Amino acid sequence: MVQIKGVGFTKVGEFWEKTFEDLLTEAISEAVEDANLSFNAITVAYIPRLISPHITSTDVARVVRSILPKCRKIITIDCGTNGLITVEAAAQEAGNKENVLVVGVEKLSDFKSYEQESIRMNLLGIHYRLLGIPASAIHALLLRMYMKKWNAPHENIAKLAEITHMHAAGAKHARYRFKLPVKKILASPVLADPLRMFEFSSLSDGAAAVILSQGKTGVIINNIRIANDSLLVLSCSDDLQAKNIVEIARDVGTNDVDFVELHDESTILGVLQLEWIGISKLGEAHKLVGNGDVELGSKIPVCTFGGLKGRGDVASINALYQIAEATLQIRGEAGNNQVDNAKSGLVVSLHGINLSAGLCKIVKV
Amino acid sequence: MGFDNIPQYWRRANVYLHFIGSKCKQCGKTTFPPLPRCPYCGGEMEKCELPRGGKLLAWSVVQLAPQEWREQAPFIVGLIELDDGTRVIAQITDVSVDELKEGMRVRATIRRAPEREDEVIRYIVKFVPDWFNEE
Amino acid sequence: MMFVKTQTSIYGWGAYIPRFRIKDEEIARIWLGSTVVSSAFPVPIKEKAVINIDEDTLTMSVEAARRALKRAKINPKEIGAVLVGTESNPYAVKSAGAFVARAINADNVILAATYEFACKAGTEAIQTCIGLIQSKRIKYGLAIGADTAQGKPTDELEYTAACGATAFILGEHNPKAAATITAALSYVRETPDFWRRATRPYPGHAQRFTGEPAYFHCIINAARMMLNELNASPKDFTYAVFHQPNYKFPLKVAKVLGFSAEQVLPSIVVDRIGNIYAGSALIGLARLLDIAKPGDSIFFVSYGSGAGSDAFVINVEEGITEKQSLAPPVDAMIENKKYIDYALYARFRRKIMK
Repeated sequence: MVQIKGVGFTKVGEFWEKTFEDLLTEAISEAVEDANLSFNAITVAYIPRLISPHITSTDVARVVRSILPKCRKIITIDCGTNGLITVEAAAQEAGNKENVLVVGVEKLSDFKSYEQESIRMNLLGIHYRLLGIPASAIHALLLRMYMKKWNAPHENIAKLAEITHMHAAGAKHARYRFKLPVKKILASPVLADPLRMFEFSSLSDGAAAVILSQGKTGVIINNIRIANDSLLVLSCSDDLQAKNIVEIARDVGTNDVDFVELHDESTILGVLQLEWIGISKLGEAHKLVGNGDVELGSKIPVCTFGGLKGRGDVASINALYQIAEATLQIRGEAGNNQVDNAKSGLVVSLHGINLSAGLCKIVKV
Repeated sequence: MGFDNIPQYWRRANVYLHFIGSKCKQCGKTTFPPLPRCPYCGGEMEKCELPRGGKLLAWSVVQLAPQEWREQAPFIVGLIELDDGTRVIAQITDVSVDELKEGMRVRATIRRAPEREDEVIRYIVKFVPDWFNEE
Repeated sequence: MMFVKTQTSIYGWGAYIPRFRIKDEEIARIWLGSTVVSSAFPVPIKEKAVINIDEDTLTMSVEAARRALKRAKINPKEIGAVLVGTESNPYAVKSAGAFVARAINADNVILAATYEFACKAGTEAIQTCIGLIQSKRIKYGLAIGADTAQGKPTDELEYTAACGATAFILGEHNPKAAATITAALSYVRETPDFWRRATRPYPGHAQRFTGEPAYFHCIINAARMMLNELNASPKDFTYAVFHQPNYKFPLKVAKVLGFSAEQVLPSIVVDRIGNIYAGSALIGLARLLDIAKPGDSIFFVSYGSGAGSDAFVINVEEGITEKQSLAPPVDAMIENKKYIDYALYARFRRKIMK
């Protein structure tokens, strides 16, 4: 079994004065201490390739190697924003009796708003960049199609951002620690109509580290599944289903989880995910969200520390934050945001809507 | 911000100029842009010229445009179903959003993408309302 | 003298006019009124066609060419020459013909070029096609006149410089084609009436010098020589079409030559879409083909500053009727319009420095 031996992460935010080296050092030190290990104990490191275009993996690897003198092998994996791809590779290596560190950093708040939109558009691929189809437009089209198909009021879907903000308010490391009512969300500037600015996550700064090793006690990570697709969900089907995600969710089984860390890049993507992973029936997820049935304290709370929207969107390392947050839940160390009696949590990580998807469970043993 | 590259655009340009998709030899489904194998059944796909006419299913006005596209902001991105069932996502141009109606006939045409000064101009596919019922 | 009797048929014609329009009174509001005065000003035409920010001479040329192909019903691979006449190629160096050829899926073993002779660049392209077809070097030729005309702000020409494209597919004589060019003539007399220097964005002109010694001299000479060669007189023709830089000039030259207003008015569209330069006389011809009947005859003279005229005599064939409905008529394109103000016009025509 692969054990989550330690986690460490910085606050998520806009840190003009902090360098990526500062953030990395902070996260790694915290994880190593949390794992009750020494810096020498880490022998292999995996880095999800940064989305931040102004920092290279060589830069990060150099810092990691400097902090961990016995780290003989550092592997960078290009996983886009689906960090679970990197985690899966690291988990396999951890099975070989190594202490494997998965660590990454982002400094995305350095970029102007329209540069960030450019970064997001490029994640979809050259076709979308050439034709001028930004990511926000894809989310907006998904929102429009969903609202039309299920007669879903926009308020229901926007409520996801209200809920995640509420959760973030109690989370020390979250970027947006203030309440955000649905009215304000729907009155925020239009990003790509009908999608409003406050329904879309903000690319941020942060660093997170997770140490994996073999073990049968405490918190383990299992059921890691990755599935790719060659067509964007809108381009192929009418019922807004992402076949690849539905399949791996069925394989993993999502009935028994106590909470879900969603990849809520937008409110609508969060809502759709609930249907894709089987938490909710087709067309019903917006009601679940609208009724507040995904808040902390309800049956299946989501984004327990704020998710991508409230905690902040750290692109390549969202999965590491999600795993760290899930670990805190399982340990009972989630403070204000504790899910009662949390024994198993599901983490969902996506890239390019559904082009690449990852799932895993964080479980108490 | 990805790298723009002239030979790369030149190789792809026919997909946009001639409006090329791919059709599955096994199940007959089509995709745009072309793919080597069918995302539905895994069968072999062959390139085909797509019909230029279709209907508009949904659209969105992009207000905060990515840096490269700011010159043409705001612009409309639409989801179009071509007459052969192919789903295409592309910009809709020459219209104001008030003039758009669900199900309206649109046709594919070529238009300019913004380019950096002194650079080669990229011509891509966009859609316009089929004002004269040409397609 | 370059005169030839020929039997080169027009198999298909197509035009493209962008959707946006700016009224001349709106241009006058900015440059003649400003914050000082707001009375009505005399303007040469009502309104002109303006491209969207994502259009240019090449995108318009492809649209017009596709429409011509719809009417011609030929395999584009059989086209042996793609010649684009324009003074607004987005590239000073890069063949417009090569791009259009690619876009319409023409063959590789062809002649493709950008032609320039101010407003008669499009008809130059037709002249070349006639030669290539007559000598049997090519089977079909595609000749295009297209422009996103440059009008300098504060200059008179800004009131008429407009955007549009017209395309013709020509081939050897065929009574089932739309029409046949039966005579062609080209007249040139160097005249610096209107020009654009190589790296400059806007043209210069010598105002009234562009009239009598330029436009009227070339058209009248070319027309009279043509009529002479054919032993014909203006009343022998159903229609007449001349280059239309404004509303007055074509009517005046028609009168001088002895054509009636009725003969020339059906081809005049400049008052509603402006002067589309290399496409100007050609779009008048396109409109005539939209409404002509078999047996009609057309007397055509273009004009290009610099200066010169191409004259053609065109007889409408029996094949025209069924081709008219195969692509949108010019009138429909004129009517499909949306008004913009000067600010948007300046943005779309890239007149704003950033």
